Amino acid sequence: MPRTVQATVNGRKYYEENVEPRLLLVHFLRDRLGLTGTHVGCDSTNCGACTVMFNGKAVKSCTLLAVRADGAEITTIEGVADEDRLHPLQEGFWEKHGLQCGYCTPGMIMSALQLLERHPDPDEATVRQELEGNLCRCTGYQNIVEAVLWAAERLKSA
Amino acid sequence: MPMIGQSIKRREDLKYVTGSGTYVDDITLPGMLYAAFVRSPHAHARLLGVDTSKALEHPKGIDAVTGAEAYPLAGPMPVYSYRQATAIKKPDYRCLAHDRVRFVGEPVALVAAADRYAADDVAELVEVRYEPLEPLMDPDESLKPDAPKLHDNLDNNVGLRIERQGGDMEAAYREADFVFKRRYRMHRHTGTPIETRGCIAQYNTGTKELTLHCSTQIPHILKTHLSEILDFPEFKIRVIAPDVGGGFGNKLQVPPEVVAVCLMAIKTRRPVKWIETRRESLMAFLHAREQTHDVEIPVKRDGTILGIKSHEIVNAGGYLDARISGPSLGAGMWLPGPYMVKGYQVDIDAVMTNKCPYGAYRGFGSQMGALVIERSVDLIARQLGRDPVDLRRQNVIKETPYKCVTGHEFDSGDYVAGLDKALEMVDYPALREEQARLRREGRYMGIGVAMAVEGAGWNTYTAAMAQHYVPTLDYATVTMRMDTSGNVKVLIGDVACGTSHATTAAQVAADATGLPIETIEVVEGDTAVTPYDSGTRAARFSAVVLPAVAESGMALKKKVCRVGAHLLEGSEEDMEIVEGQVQVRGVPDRSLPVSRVARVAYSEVATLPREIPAGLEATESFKAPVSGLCITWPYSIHIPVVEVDIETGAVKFLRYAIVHDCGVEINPMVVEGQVVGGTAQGVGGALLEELVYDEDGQLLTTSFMDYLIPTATDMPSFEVCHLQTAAPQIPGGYKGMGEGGCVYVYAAVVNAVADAIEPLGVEITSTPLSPSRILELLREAKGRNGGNA
Repeated sequence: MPRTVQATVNGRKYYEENVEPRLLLVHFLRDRLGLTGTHVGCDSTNCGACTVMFNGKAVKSCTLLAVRADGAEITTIEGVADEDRLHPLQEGFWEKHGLQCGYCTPGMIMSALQLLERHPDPDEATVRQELEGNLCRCTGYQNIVEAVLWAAERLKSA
Repeated sequence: MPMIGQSIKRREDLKYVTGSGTYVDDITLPGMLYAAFVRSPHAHARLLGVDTSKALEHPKGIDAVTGAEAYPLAGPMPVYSYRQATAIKKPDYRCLAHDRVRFVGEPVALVAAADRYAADDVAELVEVRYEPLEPLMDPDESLKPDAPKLHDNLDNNVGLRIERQGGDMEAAYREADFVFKRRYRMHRHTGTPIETRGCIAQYNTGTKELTLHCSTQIPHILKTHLSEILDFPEFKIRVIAPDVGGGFGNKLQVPPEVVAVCLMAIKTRRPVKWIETRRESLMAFLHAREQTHDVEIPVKRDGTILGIKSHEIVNAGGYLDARISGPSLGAGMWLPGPYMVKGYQVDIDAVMTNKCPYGAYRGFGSQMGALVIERSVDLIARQLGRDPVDLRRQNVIKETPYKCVTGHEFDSGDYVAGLDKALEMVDYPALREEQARLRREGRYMGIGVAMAVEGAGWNTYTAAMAQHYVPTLDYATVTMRMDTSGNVKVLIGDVACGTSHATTAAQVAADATGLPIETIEVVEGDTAVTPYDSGTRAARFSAVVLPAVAESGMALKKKVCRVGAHLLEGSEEDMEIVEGQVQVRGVPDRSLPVSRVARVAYSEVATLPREIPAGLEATESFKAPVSGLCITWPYSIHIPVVEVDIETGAVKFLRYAIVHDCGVEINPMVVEGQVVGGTAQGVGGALLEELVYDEDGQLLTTSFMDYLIPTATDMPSFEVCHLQTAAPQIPGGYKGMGEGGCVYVYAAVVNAVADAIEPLGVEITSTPLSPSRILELLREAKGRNGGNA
């Protein structure tokens, strides 16, 4: 039976009727809410391109059903910047050339958000470990690690 | 300050870090349908019937296209012929199978439905009857005289044969003290961009235009091919490549699926979107790399490598992809490496089997050529009791330009200096001591050295030569258009797929025009607004496209100066553009903002003399100055240091040093990103990734759970040293570099692992070096040595 989903996404209220129970959260965000910054890369929870913050936790939205989002608070890549002020992680990816094609970047940034919550002062090995669930095919990860370390510095001094 | 040479931040990044990029699946058109393919579950079968009636009874099932229906509507998929190909036969490769299926995942029918999920439901209702046939998975089997033919119109199962030779191979054999022989094998794997394939086709019944949004590296070439395949006027086709989430050569493909989606759009008169799943992508997007080389290398006792001869077998899969000859030839042409050999010969057979078709992937075969020669140099060194670096130093080309036996002229660079630099970075003598010390402790550290010269920019495909080989030169055409407020759009016919074009082209355009970079923007990917171009391929952007940007920029500048000279009452030759001002050279007092000049050129035309044309726009072409196969010759030396855990078979990187020379660097940050990224991709290819089929032709690796692309913890920190020897024949001195790391890394990593476990009696001549494969090699060696490893 189709259900109604009411959720807060990026601080805004959304109300969607007729949500199929089998609809994945990632398709709900993309196709129903128009938040296309969250990407699909593997369909099997390996690549992390679809990572969003779901009730304060980084989750892969391709393995969550949209109906689970009823009453949830979700942040997607579109909600990471404070209006026009980029989050230090967004700045870091830009500053350190932490992206090439950009497809994995939103998911990578969402995972890194959680990483920095858990480890405000991470070393390189920790960053690599924590980002193991996000695949990037362009960068070889080197500049992604740099970007996260740069953001950690910036957040500490803020 | 010149912009060329500056590591400025990328101009495309803001949209990506805020989630505002637009990839093809982010586009929704009014009335859009979703498509799903019905694919063959058999590796080889006769197609007895396809029944779509149940599918169309589904309330959301809008329409279906079968192979039988498509056959008269869409011609064969293209195959390029090289002049070098002594025989090229073309299997009848159609967008949907119509008589036989030849690999698991081959599209058989296409359905369109009202939404994404319904499309899958509807596809499941299509009933297909097959008569399974014996599959051929191994080229050796396909080549047997009594093997069944996979294509009736071919004489046998050889889809493509190329024979190449150069220099004097007979003399090489004559002078040799011994002939080194080995069989090398590289396994099947591929690029797997994180964004899979996808497109939206739309047919306008009023204008008779077909518009295709497609994740592709070749919008213009794709348009030309679609016109031929669909017998549709080319000027009525518009291809738009939006943001592309990685291409790596795979997206040079002319996808059969895209042809079928176009048919569906024409049939339904509605926009049709198709987005490939990862499972489909692993089964039916291009595969790559799988090759075998039977090699002979005549050698003198003093270590002189005299020549190289190989019989190369490519597992081409069920059909020939358009670019099959590229990676086949790419491997063959790179066999002599950066060494002074007398002779060379390669006989290439691309053999039909029941695997997914084989095509382009970053490096285009050259990594296999490099692996063969670099592995051989190490093994010959071992046989002669020499240090592998020492043997390289003896044989490497000492001076450039150098005419290689392949016919290529390596244009510039100092390979010995590059090698020395790389050795210095890792402190090679100290590493060898460390290795000896660790071995005494029972630890297995290995040092891999690989060097190669790489052809960047290929003089091919400039015309979409589907039918005949046409000798041609690569070229690029670029338009620069200044608007009425003095800002400039640079229109380029290729497309960025992580390749930073919006930044580097703007840097070159800024220097060519004298305009501030903030006033310049790059537009790519839309065939309706950009000049014809052969696409983002073969690392040609910096070697061919950017010189065209510079030419076009200089032409635009001249036009701005001409109008400026009239307004400032000076002579055109005395004008310059400095920081957005047109001024009399050296006299800033006599100047005008470019915006004022633009206003006059567009809006106050009556004030200009008749001979000055209205508007400010320039289009210029740059033709490759070199007529051989490749245009520029970057080179690189890779030295990875690894430790192999002989209990688990795991390979750990201790260091990874890279010296590379791609000529003058426009943006060193971008260059380093490409070098590191390409190398990382090859590390995955050498150690982890493999597309595995069982003997029935079923693909066993159909998700990223089985097909392991490297994660952040698999990767070392790469140390990169940039040399910059200007390309002598390219204005600006740029060489191509995007394939870069992916050419050298296989040879380097395999040599490192081999060096680590060589004391245990292991000889490595094949990839991948996954932990299980390494343990298997160790077990085999132990068996050979009677248990005394």
